[in-house]
Formats: sequence, C-alpha cells, structure tokens
Amino acid sequence: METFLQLLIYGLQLGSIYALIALGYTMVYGIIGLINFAHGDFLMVGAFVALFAVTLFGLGFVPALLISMIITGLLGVSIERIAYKPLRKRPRLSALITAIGVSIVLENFPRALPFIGPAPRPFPQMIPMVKFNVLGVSTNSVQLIMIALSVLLMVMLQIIVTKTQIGRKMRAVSLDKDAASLMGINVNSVISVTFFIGASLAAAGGIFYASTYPMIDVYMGIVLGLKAFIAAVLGGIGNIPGAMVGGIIMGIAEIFATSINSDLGYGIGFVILIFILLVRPAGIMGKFTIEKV
Amino acid sequence: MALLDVANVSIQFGGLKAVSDFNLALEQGELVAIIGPNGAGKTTAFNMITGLYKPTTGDIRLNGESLVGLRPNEFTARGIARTFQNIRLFNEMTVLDNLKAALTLQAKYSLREALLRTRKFLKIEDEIEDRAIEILKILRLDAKIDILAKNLPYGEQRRLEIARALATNPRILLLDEPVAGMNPNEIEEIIRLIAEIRESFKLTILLIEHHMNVVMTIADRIKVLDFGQTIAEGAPDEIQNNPKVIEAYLGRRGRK
Amino acid sequence: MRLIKANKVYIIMILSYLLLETLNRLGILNSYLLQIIMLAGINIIMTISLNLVNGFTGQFSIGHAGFMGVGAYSSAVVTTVFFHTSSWPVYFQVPIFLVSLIVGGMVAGLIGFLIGLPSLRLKGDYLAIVTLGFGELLRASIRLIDYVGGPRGLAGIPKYTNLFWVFLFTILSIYAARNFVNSSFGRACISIRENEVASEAMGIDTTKYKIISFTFASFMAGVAGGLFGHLLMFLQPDTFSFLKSIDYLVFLYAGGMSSISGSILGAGILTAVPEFLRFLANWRIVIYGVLLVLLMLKQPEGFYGGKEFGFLKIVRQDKKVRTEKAS
Repeated sequence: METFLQLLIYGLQLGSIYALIALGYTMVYGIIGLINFAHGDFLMVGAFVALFAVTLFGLGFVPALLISMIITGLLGVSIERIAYKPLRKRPRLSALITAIGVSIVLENFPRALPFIGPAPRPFPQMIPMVKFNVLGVSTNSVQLIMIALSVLLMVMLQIIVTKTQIGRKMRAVSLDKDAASLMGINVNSVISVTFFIGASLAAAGGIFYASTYPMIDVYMGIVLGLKAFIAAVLGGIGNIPGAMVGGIIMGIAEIFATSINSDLGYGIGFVILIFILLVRPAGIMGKFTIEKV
Repeated sequence: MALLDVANVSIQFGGLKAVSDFNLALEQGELVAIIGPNGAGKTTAFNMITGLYKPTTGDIRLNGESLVGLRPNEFTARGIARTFQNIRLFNEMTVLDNLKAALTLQAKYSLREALLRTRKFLKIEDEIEDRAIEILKILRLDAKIDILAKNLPYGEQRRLEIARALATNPRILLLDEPVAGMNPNEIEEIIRLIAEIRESFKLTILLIEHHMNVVMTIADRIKVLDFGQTIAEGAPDEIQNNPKVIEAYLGRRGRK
Repeated sequence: MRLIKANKVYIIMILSYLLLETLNRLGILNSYLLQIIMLAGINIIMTISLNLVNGFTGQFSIGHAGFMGVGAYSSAVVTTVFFHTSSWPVYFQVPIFLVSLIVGGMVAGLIGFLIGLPSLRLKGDYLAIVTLGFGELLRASIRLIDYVGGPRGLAGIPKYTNLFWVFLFTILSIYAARNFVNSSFGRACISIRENEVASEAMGIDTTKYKIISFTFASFMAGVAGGLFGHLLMFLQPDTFSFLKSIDYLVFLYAGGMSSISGSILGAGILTAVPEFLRFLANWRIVIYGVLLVLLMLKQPEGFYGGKEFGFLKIVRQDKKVRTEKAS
C-alpha cells in the first residue's frame, strides 16, 4: 500500500507535466488541425531559457518561470507566423513535414551554438528541497509545488478558455474558421494566442520536469514530447480536459510500469494508446463523427 | 418473386427515425422513382439498399438472399450499384482509370501475376480496358479517357458516375438525383441515356429525383416519401393527382 | 538499334551499375562514398514502400522503421545466429544471405499484416499515431529479446550487402512498385485514397486492399532492413526508433507523394545532402532543417509530386496497336 501511494505520487507529478505539454498539442490541433511536431522542443527551449535566467541573471524561480514562459510563447508565435501560416490552405501533411523541419532546427541550432552544445547540463535547484513523510509516503517540497503549480496553470487555462472573450473566440475558430472570420473574429490573432499559450505551457512543463530530473539537453523534448502527444491523443486530441486526463493516465501508468521494467515503462504508453484507439477510435473524451454520405 | 424485396425497413439515428417501415418490391426490368421533399429520407433509403447504413429493423432480399449486415462492396458484388447525389468520383484518376477501378472485381489475377506482368495479367488487363472503353462509349465519354475526373465539366462528371456504376456489372442500378444541376439539354440527354442503358444492360432501375418532368417521363412506378414515411405509391398519373402528394410535395413547390 | 531503344532504361541501369562498380574496383570511390550510395539505395526501397501506403493508398502510416527493424533482425538471425554462415563454404553464404533477406521480408510482412488488421480501420491522424505506437512497440520488444542481444544489440553480422545487391534490390523494388500501381491492386488502392465510400460502392473490398498494400510495403521494408543489417554488420534496436520512421516520412514528402520517381529523388537527394554539408560541422543539421522547411514552403508538392519519370509510366496503347502487336 505504501509503495502504491509512493508510486502514485510520482505518477501524478510526471502526469501533470505530461498534461501541461499535451495541452499545447491538443490546443493547436483543435484550432488548425496540425500535429505540431516541434511542440516537444518548446519545453527544451523553456528549460534552457530558465537555466540562463537563473545562472546568468541570478533570477529566482518565479521570475525565471515567467520569463521563460513569455519568451517560449513568443517563439511559438513567430514559428507559426513564419513556417505554418503560409501552409494553412495546403494539405495538412505538408505542414506536418514543415513542423518536422522546424523541430530539427530547434534542436540542432542550440546544439551548434558553442555556449550550449550537445552535452547534458545540470539544472539548478531553485526551490529549497524539504522532505516530508506523510503516512509512510515520502515526498518533498519540490514535488508538491510542481504538482500544485501544474494544477494552477491548468485551472487558469480552463478559465481562459471557458470564461473569457479570447477563449470564446478560440472555441469559435476551432469549430469553423471561415464562419468565425465572417463574425469579425481575427483568426490570425486567435491562432497566435493559441500558439503562445501552448508554447508557454510547454515551457512550464519543461521547467517542472527539469526541476525534478535535473539534467537537460537539446534533445530532451523528443521523447517527452512524444509521450505528451500520446497523452493528448489518449484523452481525445483537440479536447482540453482530455489532454489533462490523458497526461495523468500516462504519467501514472509509466511510473508503475517502470517500477517493473524500464522498457515496459517506455512501452506501456503505446500499449494503452493502441488499446484505447482500437476500442474508442477518437480517444477517451473525443467525439467520433460518422461520415455523412 | 421480386428481384429486390425491401421489407419493413426502418433506421434510427439517435432518437430520430429517419426512415420507417419502408417497403419496396422491385420486379426485373422495372424503373421505379422515389420522390419526396428534402430530408424525406430518400438518400437514407438508398444508403440502406446499398449497404452503407445497416437498417435498425427489417430485411433486404435480393433474389431471396438476405443482404442485411453485408459490407457495401458485397452489395455491389451481388449486383446492386449506385451513383451519388454529391458526386464522388476518384478525382485524381483519369476517366479511364475511374472505370478500371470499378472493374476491379473482374480483375481475376493474383498479386504475383500483377507484379510479374504475366501473359494472363496482360490479357485480363486488355479485357478490362476494352470493357471500360465500351461503357465509356455508351455514355459518350470515350473522347475524354485520359482526362482527370476532376477536370471534367459538371454534366460529364454526372455521366461518369453512371458509367462507373455500370462497370460493376449491376442488375439493379440506383441513381441518386442523376440530373441535379443540369440544363434542359443535358437533362434530355440523360433521359435518353437512362432509357438506352436500361435496354442494353437489362437493368432494373431505382431513381431518386426532384425533377418532376424526368420522373413522370421515365418511371413505371413512383413512391413518395415524406418524413421517412411512404405516403403514396403508384403509376405516374395516379401520383400526379394524389391529394396527399400534392399537399406534401407538389403543393409546397406550387406555393413557391 | 531498335533493341537498344526499347530497352534503353535497362541499358542505362546496367551501364550506371558497371560505371559505379568500376569506379569502386579502381578505388576511386572511397568506402565512405560507397557506403552512402548503398544507404541511398536502401532508403529508396524504404521510401517507395512507404509511398505505397501513404501516397497511393492514402493511409497515413508513420511507423515504418519498425518493420525495417523486424526485417533487419530476422535476416541477421538467419545468417548470424542460426546458420553462423561465416563458418560455411563461400558458395553457400550468398544463397543463405538471399534466403535471409526473403525471411526478413516475410517476417516483417507477417507482422505488418497482424498490425494492419486492427489498425487500418482507423483513419487519418489516428492511424498515424497507432502505427507510430506499433513501430515503437516493435523496437521496445526487440530490446526485450535476449536471443538477439536485447538493448546491447546484435554484433558480428557478416558484410554480405554490396553494391550489386543493393542495386539489384533497389531496381526490383522500383519495378515491383510500378507494376503494383499499374494493376487492379494499385487502382483499387488509389480509389480508396480518392474516395473510400465510392470505392466500396464500386465493389472494392477496401479493408482487403489496404491490408495488401500495408503488408506488401512491410515486406519491402523488411528486405531493406535485411540489406541494412548486412551492410552495417551491427544492429541496435534503437536504430529503428520513430526518428528513423520520421526520416522516411521526410524523404517521402520531400520527394513528392504518389510518385515513385519522387521517392527515388527524395531518398537519394536527402541521403546525400547531409553528407555534402559535412564541412558545416555542427551547423549541418540546422541547415538541413532549414532547407526542408524552405522546400515545403516553396514547393509543398515536393520535388516530383504526382509526376513520374518516363520509364516508370506504363503507356496505354490504342486497341489498334495492341492487336497489331498480338498478330
């Protein structure tokens, strides 16, 4: 029982990170139907921006987090403008290949820079580590703060999407771009906002991940991004609560499976994914539409 | 026994009964038209008779064999072919390849023979091509065989739909609004073509059409649907004078 | 003269092979260049086979490296683990190698069939994700098999793959794909891509044809994997990760969908480009990425989308010409 709770709390933490990253995938997919392959790299950029904010400018955790989220968010917006927007009317698969190209650049540009390079670097401990022991389950301040912050960000996102003007616009654009634009909604700016939010959430996810597993390198976004993407699909891609549920499921399943065998830990996500998709082809919370003839 | 016997077929989508208690007995060689206002369930009935939708209740029998539960391609293989109201051609294929694709069932060679391009393969391919061109000639599309389907003018796309359905070698042909959006000349031509293929292919035809002139000219029998229910059935002149039909359908038109 | 004209393509192929082989024997082609040429050939096979599923059948599958891995391992198991071919007389080694390639293809084809059966019911992005998932599961499974070295990999594979075999199998694949596309199988697949509902209404068993194209493509990927293993002489499960699948996807799209010629160009050029950029050191892959983005922005159809080289077309002959030929 204690091991169970112990694993559960690790799973929740990892899952909340997956959820943060999955949100970006799902929002972008919901709004322009693109699997943004480069999304995983935003979390790497976020982690590096935070690293430099702390080591070069001596900032604390919260300012570093905010700055990283803003810079990564702006990066997301500019990438959409430069690389994806011209392809919006083209077959979606051309945009996917472009996204792969962007991902290659995002990973290898910092790798080529002399002051970053390919070698992994330690990520600074920004929050004082205090260990607790509750009911025989050991946890610590970092873990609890990370889970709390993830939940806070997700609640904020939910409020933005459901309660604000821009959230309404986002939902309108995701339903029908043309109709939304006829209603006077500036579709381009809504897409930009979506990319900003998605990329900045990924940056937060990257920082939270690095705070727990404190080694970062330019390729850290690949596998992490892939798993978060699976989480998004698991929950029903395009569906925001689905991404959160999918992320938590992925995180918990992975931690439990890894406790048995590390390859199993890697594979379990795919097993769950394939199973869910074969049973419910649109994911847990996705809607499956019948083609009208 | 009727060639096609559709008995008490109903279908429900969620809470909505789109078609209820649909009955139809098609005799060999007949041409029956289904008419009715938009949303009356005509295309839904077609989709059930061609296997695209599985009816919630009821039975569809072709020569006594029940077809309910089979895949659409199995309906076609047994001799029920159709065209689509919203044209569904293979756009990036040439006119000829559209036909050849519809002749896939006749390509009785193995993958190995296709990869090695054996003598048998070449012979069957030649036969398929001859058959395709033959059908295209009847539909007066033989001058267009190398044109991509998407580049055909609208009227010819409708004709290609019919040609493609004929290529599957049907006994029963279902035409879903074959003259929709056509001008009077083109309509006249389609009427002639339908009569011609009916004769030469010994077809039994079921037709959905809004165009009253067409229906009255070529149908042996007319069935009127409204809100998923059959409200009248009979010869063209009976239908024309049926007060229920005039109210549900012609009346509505008349007020326009 | 007429004979030469009619068989122009074959003659060009044989000549270009002889040229490469001579350059190789004379030592002008260094082993590095030779390796790249052979990799390009293997990549062409992979890309063409992926094209059959993604381009011609229109089913978005992105886990292709998994099948390559299955083929590579199965083939290497035959020569290295099972037969220990290197201890056999030389004239036995080549036939066993060829058998091993077929075994690699068959095992990959079988796995492709088993995976395709449930997955191909899904459409679009969902199919893509499931195939990606299966591809990764295949890799993870190989890691768990101790018999083939698990995560450490399988070493000591004899180097049977040479320019001749790569050339031969590349050409065989090109022709197999061409003949597939220009048959009722290819037409059925393309019709599924164009309009699945209409395709079914034309009597085409869409599930069957999707599975045929998927299985056939997996078979080809398995053979390519076998060549790959006997070229590198060492296999490691992580070589066949989804990043490798993505490489093939990039080759395919850069070359152009639904074009065998495009796949040849895409795989050929994109295998070579990073090597020519080597002088850029660390910036090389950055430039590669930028070029890829520029290509998709400037020419979203890829190098050769929808078009074919002359020799890959099967020209339709008029009835008259055909009857004359027959008589």
